[in-house]
Amino acid sequence: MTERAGDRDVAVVTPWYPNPQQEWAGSFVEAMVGATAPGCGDVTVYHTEAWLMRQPPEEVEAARAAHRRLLPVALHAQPAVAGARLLRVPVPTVPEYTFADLAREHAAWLREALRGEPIPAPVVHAHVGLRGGWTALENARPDARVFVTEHASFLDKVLEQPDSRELYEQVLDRCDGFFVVTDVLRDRLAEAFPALAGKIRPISNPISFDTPRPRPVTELRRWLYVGTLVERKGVGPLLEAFAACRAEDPGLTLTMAGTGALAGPLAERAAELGVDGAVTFLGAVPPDRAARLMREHDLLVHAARYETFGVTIIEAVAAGMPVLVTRCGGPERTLAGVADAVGEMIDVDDDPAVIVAGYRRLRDRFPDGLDLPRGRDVLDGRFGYRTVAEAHHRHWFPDGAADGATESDTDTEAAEEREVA
Amino acid sequence: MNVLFVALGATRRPAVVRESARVVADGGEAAVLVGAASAWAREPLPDGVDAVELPALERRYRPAAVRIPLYRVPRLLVRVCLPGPLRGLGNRIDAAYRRRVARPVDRLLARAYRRDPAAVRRRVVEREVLRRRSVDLVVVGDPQSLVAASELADVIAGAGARLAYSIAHERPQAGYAGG
Repeated sequence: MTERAGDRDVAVVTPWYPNPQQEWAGSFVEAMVGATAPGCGDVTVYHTEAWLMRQPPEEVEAARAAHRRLLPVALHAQPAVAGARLLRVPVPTVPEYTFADLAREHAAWLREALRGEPIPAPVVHAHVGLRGGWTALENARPDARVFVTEHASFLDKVLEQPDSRELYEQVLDRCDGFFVVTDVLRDRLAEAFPALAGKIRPISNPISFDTPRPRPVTELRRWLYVGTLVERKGVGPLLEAFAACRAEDPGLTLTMAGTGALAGPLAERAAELGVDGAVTFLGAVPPDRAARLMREHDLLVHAARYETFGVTIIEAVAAGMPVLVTRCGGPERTLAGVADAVGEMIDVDDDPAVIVAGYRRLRDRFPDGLDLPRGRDVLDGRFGYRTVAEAHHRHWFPDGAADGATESDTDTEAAEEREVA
Repeated sequence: MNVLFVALGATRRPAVVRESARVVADGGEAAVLVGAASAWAREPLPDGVDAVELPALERRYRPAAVRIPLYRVPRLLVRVCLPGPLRGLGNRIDAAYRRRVARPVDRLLARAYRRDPAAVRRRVVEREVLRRRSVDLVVVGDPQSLVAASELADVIAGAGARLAYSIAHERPQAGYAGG
């Protein structure tokens, strides 16, 4: 697989990417590719996809040996977003592995897929510190520049494992640039690796602001939640709060899009509360359907206890929808300066009354107390495709970020400010 | 396009269900080679997609050198010798022959012709699945199918089919990559 790569060719290495097994998984990586590919040469996405095995070790080893024989004939590139090429490499893995073990497996299987050759592109952008970052570093050509973006909300679990923490430090040390999608992640990594803290810079996930809502929201009646149905997302208090609000206004509905351990208990609780006729559980939905749902509902309610970024909140504003959201880490930073314009922020609290009170405050000042178009414009400037692509391109192609064009000092300063935001 | 998904472990059911549905929606034909049909009870295959149980195919397998002299020739003889109104008697004789002679002999011979399970698997998949269904593409659907797919690789190539981990590269636009 020896190829001559162009100067602006880019490889993306990621353990997450939308796929037939999980259509929504890693949609933010796909968005990043969609945002950054224009202006690059050839873009190839290497998706190392975990295929979990719970068989005895000898069966796992037999499967791996068979996989090695199959790879040369069964691995095919496919077209991807924005003219990129996608190579999806199955990685047979077992549940007992630490994150470091997983990273080494992903790196080994990408090397196998590349038949021992390095990734030809001179720029490699990896997603997630270990399974993406380590895999990229171990497979990049010696003169390649490797950049890593960390998104993981489970970063604490990674850093709790001694071998994973050690490998993470190596990734941070060896890569040419390390980005995080929110300041929360930067703070956590800076605390864990103070000597390397200066290397960590925030560049957010890109959000598409391209599809406006056909008609503006006129009343806050159709509630929407998009995300996993787990404790951390505060979906229990959300349902209780919805029931309380619906007791005052029987016209309210709630749509919950996502799967998780609480799907069954939530459905049972909705029946107990007598709101099962007003609550719809859609299960997991692919990103395009989530975006459509946002254009068809009136209010995104996101009561999570902790978020590093909270991408659905920005997507909701992009879809012209107000948000009722907890101060759970990411949102108070992503919405800084426009929180009142796009909705209402509430404290993290298991008491549904907090959500109810927040909803009432928002309802009372809607629509005149909000300025959704302004909030949307501000967030487009922070998280839109063009802004995020420019921030990455300045690092990837320092000799000419805009494909041969030279940025003026003013442009550069403005871009830096946006990046820091 | 005629696609065979090999999903013996049933551990990536959503992927197989979605991709097989997509094959049918695109006007092709899809079948799924499964280990046990019961594993798909909670996540059934889409309409128009056949489930083919590999263990059942393997159980029914007999090489021609056993099948023809032990079963087909005796049945033919009975039908020729006892035609028309004697057909009922012929059937009873044939059933008794199978029970008392053919099956015990078959069991003895099976020790030899089933000695290599991989060879049995190759023969049944080639004859009963790949050639009968004119398969164009074989998709390895889960990690539990990697060994079987590897053992079948030359049979698959010999039948003129291609191997892949997904149907995506065969489609004009990558459905899950936003194409």
